[in-house]
Amino acid sequence: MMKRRKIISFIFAIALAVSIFAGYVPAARAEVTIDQTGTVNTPDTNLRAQPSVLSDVLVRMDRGAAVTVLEGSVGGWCKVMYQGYTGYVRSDFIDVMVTGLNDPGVIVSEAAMTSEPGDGAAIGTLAVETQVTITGSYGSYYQVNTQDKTGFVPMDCVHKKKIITLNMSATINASNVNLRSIPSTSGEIVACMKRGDKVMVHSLQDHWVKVDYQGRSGYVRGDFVTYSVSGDNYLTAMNVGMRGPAVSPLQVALRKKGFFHVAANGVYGKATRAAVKKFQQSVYLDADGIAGEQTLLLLFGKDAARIWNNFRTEMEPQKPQQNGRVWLIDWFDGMNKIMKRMTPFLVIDVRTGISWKMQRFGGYTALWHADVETVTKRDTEKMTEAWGGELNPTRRPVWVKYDGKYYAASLMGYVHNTGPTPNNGMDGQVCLHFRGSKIHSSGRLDEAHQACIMEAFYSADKLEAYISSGKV
Amino acid sequence: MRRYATWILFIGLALAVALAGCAKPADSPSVTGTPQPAETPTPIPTTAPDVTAAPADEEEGAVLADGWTYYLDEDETAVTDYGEDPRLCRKNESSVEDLGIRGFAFDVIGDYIYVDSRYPDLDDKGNQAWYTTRMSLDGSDKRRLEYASMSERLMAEDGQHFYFTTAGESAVFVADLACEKVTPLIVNLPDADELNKKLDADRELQLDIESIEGGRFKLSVTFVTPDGIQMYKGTYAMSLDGSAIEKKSGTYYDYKSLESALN
Repeated sequence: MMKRRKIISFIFAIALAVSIFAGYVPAARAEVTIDQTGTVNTPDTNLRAQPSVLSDVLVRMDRGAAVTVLEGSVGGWCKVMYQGYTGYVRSDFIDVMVTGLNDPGVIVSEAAMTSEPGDGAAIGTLAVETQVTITGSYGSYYQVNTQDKTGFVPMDCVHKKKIITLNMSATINASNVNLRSIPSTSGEIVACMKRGDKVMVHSLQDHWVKVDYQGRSGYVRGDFVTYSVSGDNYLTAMNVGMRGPAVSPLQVALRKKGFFHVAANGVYGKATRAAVKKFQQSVYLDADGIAGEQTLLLLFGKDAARIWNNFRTEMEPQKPQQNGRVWLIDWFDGMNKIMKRMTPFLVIDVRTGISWKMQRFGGYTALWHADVETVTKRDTEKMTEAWGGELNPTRRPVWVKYDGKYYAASLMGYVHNTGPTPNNGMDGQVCLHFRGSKIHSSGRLDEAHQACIMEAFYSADKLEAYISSGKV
Repeated sequence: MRRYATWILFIGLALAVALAGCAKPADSPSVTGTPQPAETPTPIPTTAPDVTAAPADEEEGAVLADGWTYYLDEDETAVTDYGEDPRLCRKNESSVEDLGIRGFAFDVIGDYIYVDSRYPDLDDKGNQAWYTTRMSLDGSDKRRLEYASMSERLMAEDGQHFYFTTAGESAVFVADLACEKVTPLIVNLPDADELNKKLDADRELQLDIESIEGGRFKLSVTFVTPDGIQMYKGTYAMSLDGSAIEKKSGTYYDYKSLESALN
């Protein structure tokens, strides 16, 4: 199986994901070499003129055919020469020996090690949890090195640790957290960090992150860091029921990571929730299926807030719609006329069921959306509780109970400007949005608000549950 | 003549009585002296939405075929602790078999199983692509397909072939059940000139088959920047033979101001 090799110098062009997307950084390695001779592993393999399945087939190759590899895998295609033809073939269909790797791995299911890939003398059996170094590959086999043995094991018995570049600031979220020299609890302790300490996270490697802390570099368990949003941005969490242009980028990003495989239709439904959970599991976050701040940061990078930046200037008006008890009514020519000034109404937080009273007050700027304030200090306390203890600009889906009906809406927790009611614990106003409402500064829709409004509309079953349980 | 007139009168009276019985009573006026709030718009009910919160513990979909239940084994340590794709297994009343492949999704189509599996390495752009393996129902005769990052496989009504798209290619593929005879239907967008004028050339295409309705594909076309910012999203209807395509809707997004704001 192993043919005599002509070793050629072939340096992989290592492409780092630029700036905002987490990228792949292979471990430091010796010069990686690809054998110039490869073997076709699948019958009737197409050799194509261009690296595309839409390109013409030059010739079909039989299993076992020998090809000369001219260029290694780029975009999943290899450039090869076969019987005078030069063309492209899917890398999967060519077995070629790659050496010079130096990637950490661990055995995840008992593996028979052999001297040749899938053949040759039996060397031994590697137990689960055995740490290995991957030094090469051939077809669906890794060449691994462990203690005093070197041989081949099937790839699906090995977990190859992916190293994902992050370059994000973060905060230590627990006390007495050890910074270690290697990503292992057996590593030497370099420093001891306390809750609130700032670190710069360079990369994620399975359960560990590599960080810089006060001039020292080391590894800390990933669940001990909380990533920070850049600048003054706040991230609105994305949840089941949301619809809109901000959901599509989430789906596209999850697809690029290999977690989302159905149409990116802009609807946060079961498939998106499942994909978010899988992604969360892969980066060792709490897998709740809600794309919250930490999930969005790890998916999009430190500038994750951009997915909530304004996209649209207009939204097609529509007639009122109803889902259970919940109404979806446009702001312009709808809620703007229904909601009277200084008439208290109930606001119910969709995700927690916490409720409080608010009222809309007048003013020119109120035409874009509703400028509202809480009625009493107690109402401010309840609203703050819904925001997790501190009011901030994140948007949250809410229902507005006005005149006996429930309306889908979105509320932002950033207190600003003024409000007419003294002693209500809120020194200013916050913004309440409905379908199609806009923000003042740009006259555009706020996509986070619009997505929250849709979540509120499609969460009618939650409202029923809150009412049945007496919570509301 | 008089007799007929009598009958006509009788029938007319009977009809009048019947219609009077169907008349609704007049609305009662408010008897209170307090002003009533303005009436809200007349409600227009919709059908029940198809988006609801998923149950807390979902299982991967198991498939019953040929007397076996095919499923992905999520309980393995490799999956729970290391995030590897689960193994595809099958079981019946008397035995359990490991079919010798890991994957995150699978379809049973005709006499074949199609398994989607992630590559162990990220691609040269730092993204995760995946491959599809076709095999027999007993796990033998495994063969990787040429189409990477295959979309959901949609069956045709005749049950003789299925449709899919593949990453980066502007085509809908029609495959026989064995995926050996595959015909690409090139998707030539009717507004290609406009898209080329309004969007940067450096963009990535995501083509999805949302559904097959009324003898046509409903296609979703998304263009994103290399960083994943959405540039355009459109919906098109294409005939099943690919000969005709019509734009149904499309929205351009202001990705350039987003990019400049970030820079």
